[in-house]
Amino acid sequence: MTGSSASVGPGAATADLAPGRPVISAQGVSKRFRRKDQVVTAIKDVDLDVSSGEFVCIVGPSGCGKSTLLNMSAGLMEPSKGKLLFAGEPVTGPNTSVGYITQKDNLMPWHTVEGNIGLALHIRKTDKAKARARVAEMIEMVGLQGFEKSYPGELSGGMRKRVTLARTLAYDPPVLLADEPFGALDAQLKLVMQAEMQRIWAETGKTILFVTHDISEAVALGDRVIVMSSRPGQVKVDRRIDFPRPRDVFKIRHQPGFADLAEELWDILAADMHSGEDM
Amino acid sequence: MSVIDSDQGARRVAAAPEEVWDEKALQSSQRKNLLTVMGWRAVLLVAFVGAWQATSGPVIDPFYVSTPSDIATRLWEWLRDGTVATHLYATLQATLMGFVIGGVVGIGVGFFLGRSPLVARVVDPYIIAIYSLPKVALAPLFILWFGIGMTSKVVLAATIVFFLVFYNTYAGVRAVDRDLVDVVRLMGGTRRDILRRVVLPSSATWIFNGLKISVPYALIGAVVGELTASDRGIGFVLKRASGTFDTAGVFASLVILMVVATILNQMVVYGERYVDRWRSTPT
Repeated sequence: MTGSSASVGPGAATADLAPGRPVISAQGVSKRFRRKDQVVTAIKDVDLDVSSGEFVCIVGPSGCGKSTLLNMSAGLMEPSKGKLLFAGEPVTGPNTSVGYITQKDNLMPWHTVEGNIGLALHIRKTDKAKARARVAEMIEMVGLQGFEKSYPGELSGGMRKRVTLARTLAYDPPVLLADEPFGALDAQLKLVMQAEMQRIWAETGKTILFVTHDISEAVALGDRVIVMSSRPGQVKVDRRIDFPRPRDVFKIRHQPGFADLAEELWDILAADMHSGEDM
Repeated sequence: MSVIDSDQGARRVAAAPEEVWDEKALQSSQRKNLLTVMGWRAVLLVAFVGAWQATSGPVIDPFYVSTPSDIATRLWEWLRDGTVATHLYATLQATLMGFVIGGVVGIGVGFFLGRSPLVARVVDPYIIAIYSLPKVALAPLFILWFGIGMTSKVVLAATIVFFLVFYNTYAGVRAVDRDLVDVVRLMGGTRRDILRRVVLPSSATWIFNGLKISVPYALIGAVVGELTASDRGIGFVLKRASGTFDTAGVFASLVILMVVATILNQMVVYGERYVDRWRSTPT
């Protein structure tokens, strides 16, 4: 698995990313790990289609294999069984069409904010002046003006998260994978970031697969909410969310129907909460 | 956009009132502290040298400890007749060449084995075996192989430096955060990008640490080589003085070595500050 020989390249993928077409398609996907002397089945027979332009949220008890699903979509892992297709093609190496926002912020500590946000642009040999303009644009978008020359170690957790978001959006990948991106943020900043995420999604038409443990976040943002069972993770419910867009993430929680929906999903999730083993 | 504006607004408010710090008081108290420390250092040095000078003779046999004045005289003589220049040049040359050769090879092999886990596992026991050997014990062998000239000293210093740098580089490359590598791979980075943008900067601290601790060892290697058998170098001067019961000469050589080692270490400290400038905690 070398970085350059990914079968799914940005050029190859865009052709098949027409709106409504399935971008990520899991077909009977299972994944097993060897942990010490034990074989752990992280997910089992997962079928899931994410269409182009969709905002899909996945919730589930911890250790249900949500991250595993994202890792496979990103091409960092391969399924033990079944097929995982990206734009109709099996994912065999690092998938350069996705931007992956992981739980950990994974910034390069030796680069400044600017350097981190421009990383993909430098790797992709974007024209210097263009790259600089793009980085400035991203910094403004996430509100980090004045911190261009700061190192990640000097920033707060929330600011680092914003740098990660800016870094991922800077190179404009058509698909975003987000693994509990706002999990560590305080409640207020979380709402701000949710609103930002929704705005970016609406403006760019990206496909977003968003893992969270927060049901109200999932309901507020998603076109669909997938509830997964505890390990081995399986799709329990695939629920369409019909609140009109654009949604006001600050107020949607008070909208009629929201509480019922969240409670319904919570009940499905809670049934599994205690039967699952610990991570 | 409005959401982000509110965030910036918050920051602007926080920065608005010009806070007045008493910078002058802060600075002057720092300066005062520094003066106190420097003052006491000087007192300690003068007291020690003074006590040495006073007790050498009436209390302790100067044959064993010489006197600060004799040592100073000897150093002055050596400085004027070129002894220091000639022999220090030889020692520094062996130290520097050993350091550079051992460092470059150590970084190279460390990177290679760090990136090739299978080969690393195969050769691991042999490396540990050679590593465990006290390297100075190789001095007689190298003299046998390379003669009493410069080469044997360079090889000894390089061998010692190699292992220190190699181990640190290897550990540094192994400690690279896999997640950061994945970030670059997803951005479409090649192996070269991964090496340049993640592995190299991430292991730079380790490599630098290896280089840092090996600076005094390079000097040790050169001096031990000179002590074993040579016709030049501060180690040679030291051994010659000792062989002729010239205690002042022995101490004068030690003073030279001490000064040189301190300067080398200080250079390393400055170099490290530059390389590690992204770390928020200054060392």
